[in-house]
Amino acid sequence: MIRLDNISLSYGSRTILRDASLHLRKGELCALVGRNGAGKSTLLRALTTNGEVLIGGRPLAAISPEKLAQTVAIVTTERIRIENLLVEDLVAMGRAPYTNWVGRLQEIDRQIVGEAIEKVGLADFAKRDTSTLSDGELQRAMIARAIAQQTPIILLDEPTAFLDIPTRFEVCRLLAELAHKEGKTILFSTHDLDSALPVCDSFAIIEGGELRQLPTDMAQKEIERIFQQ
Amino acid sequence: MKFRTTILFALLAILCVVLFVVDIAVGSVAISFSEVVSALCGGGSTEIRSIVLDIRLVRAVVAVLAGIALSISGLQMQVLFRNPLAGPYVLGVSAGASLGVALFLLGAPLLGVVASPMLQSIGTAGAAWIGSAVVLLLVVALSRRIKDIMVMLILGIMLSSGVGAVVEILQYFSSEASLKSYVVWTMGSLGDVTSSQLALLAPIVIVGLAMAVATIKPMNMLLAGERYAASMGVNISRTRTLILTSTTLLAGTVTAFCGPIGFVGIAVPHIARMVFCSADHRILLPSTTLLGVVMLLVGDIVAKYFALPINTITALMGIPIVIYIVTRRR
Repeated sequence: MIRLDNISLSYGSRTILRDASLHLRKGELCALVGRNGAGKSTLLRALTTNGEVLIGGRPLAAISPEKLAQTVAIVTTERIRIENLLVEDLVAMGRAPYTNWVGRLQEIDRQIVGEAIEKVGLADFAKRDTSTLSDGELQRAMIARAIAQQTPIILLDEPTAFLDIPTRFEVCRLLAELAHKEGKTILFSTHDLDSALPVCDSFAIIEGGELRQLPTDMAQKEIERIFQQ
Repeated sequence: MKFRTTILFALLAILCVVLFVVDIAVGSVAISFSEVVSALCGGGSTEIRSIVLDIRLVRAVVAVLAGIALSISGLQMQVLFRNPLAGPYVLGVSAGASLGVALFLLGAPLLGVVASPMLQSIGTAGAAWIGSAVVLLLVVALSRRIKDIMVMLILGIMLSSGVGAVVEILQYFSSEASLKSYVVWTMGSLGDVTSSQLALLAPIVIVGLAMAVATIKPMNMLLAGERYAASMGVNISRTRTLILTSTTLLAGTVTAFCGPIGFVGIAVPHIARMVFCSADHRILLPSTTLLGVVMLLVGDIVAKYFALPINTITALMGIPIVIYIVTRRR
């Protein structure tokens, strides 16, 4: 579904990843782990900007921005708290690739937005102002926005950061449901192994400028080895 | 559209019409509302008709256009910079336009260039566009490195001060006549715009407004930031170019013809957000337009009544809003 082969990535003049390769299948849930500054966010960014990345077999450079918006949704670490912007309005932004030039929502769009809000457990918060939400509620609203975008691929940058332990598990469970029941390909960066290990199919580990993709059972041993070192 | 929103739009539209008539009625010669309406419909005495149609109508239309242009450019800048304190006056765009006009009005006579009135109008507008565009591009470049709202604000003040210093140097070397025309321009006036200048101002404001309308959807997406907007299919560079061009046309042209009018661009979009309780630009664009018209017409009525420059009135109206925004964020 999404693939990169032998790509090197830099941040400014510093090379962060050398000959990085990653291959994610349809319906695969993969956690991207590594130390702070290892290049997790850079890699996630590259997956939507680097022309050599292959999405559904096509190079990213050959996909129009409009088509890409219908293929890949992102959730960044940024918290979008805007006064007078309701949760349902924020989630409805995800419908942008499908609406007309002024962003007019059709009945089907409203239905999809409602379902996405329900899926993340924010049905009672739909009319709440985003500036009044907690970090956990806002993170779920951002994931609902990505769900409403109806893309086969979702990339998330530290979706469990700053959340309490139950909410972290809840977010990971939601990602697993999206991948395993709805067939979405999901890659998310995290430091939270306790929440990620039980649900992920594979791990992409960045260590010393190298990216290695391993199935979860092998990844667990590898991560323990890195910790012991 | 919600019932409350529809009612608010209707009330604002009625208020705009009423204020427009009041603005025409107020002046050194007292004219009643019925006489204004009669003159606008082609009736009444020749003297009253002449005052209304040849002088006051032009001024009121300029107030309407200036209100639209300044408030919409403020809204666009607040979205583009994701900065609630952004506005053409605060970020130095009006100062850039002032520099352009100063270079033209004070610099051209120094070089021995004498232009016809029409060419002078076009030259003033062109100089203001170039000046505001240069400052806008500088602000965009700085805002890419600096995300702090207060630092951007201070940089805007520094830019304005720097521009002010350059203008003072120009003033020092300029002749008495060109100095006078520049000083009069800086006071800001809606009454000095002639009907031929209005014929240039109106289409430019309409073009700028049309560009703003074309960016309604991208502006909604930009609320979440450029990265999210791009991930939802927004062509960021095209949107940025459209918004910057529109802002330059709107703020630059009005500054060129009416002088620097402050605090409309920064205050009106916030009033619209508060009154309409919305962050949706499909609501904010028309509401900011109407509220901008209201603010400038009220400002012009007060300015005419007390014989004061328009920018002093808009400052007094806008500053409390800015103080409210700053103190609320702390």
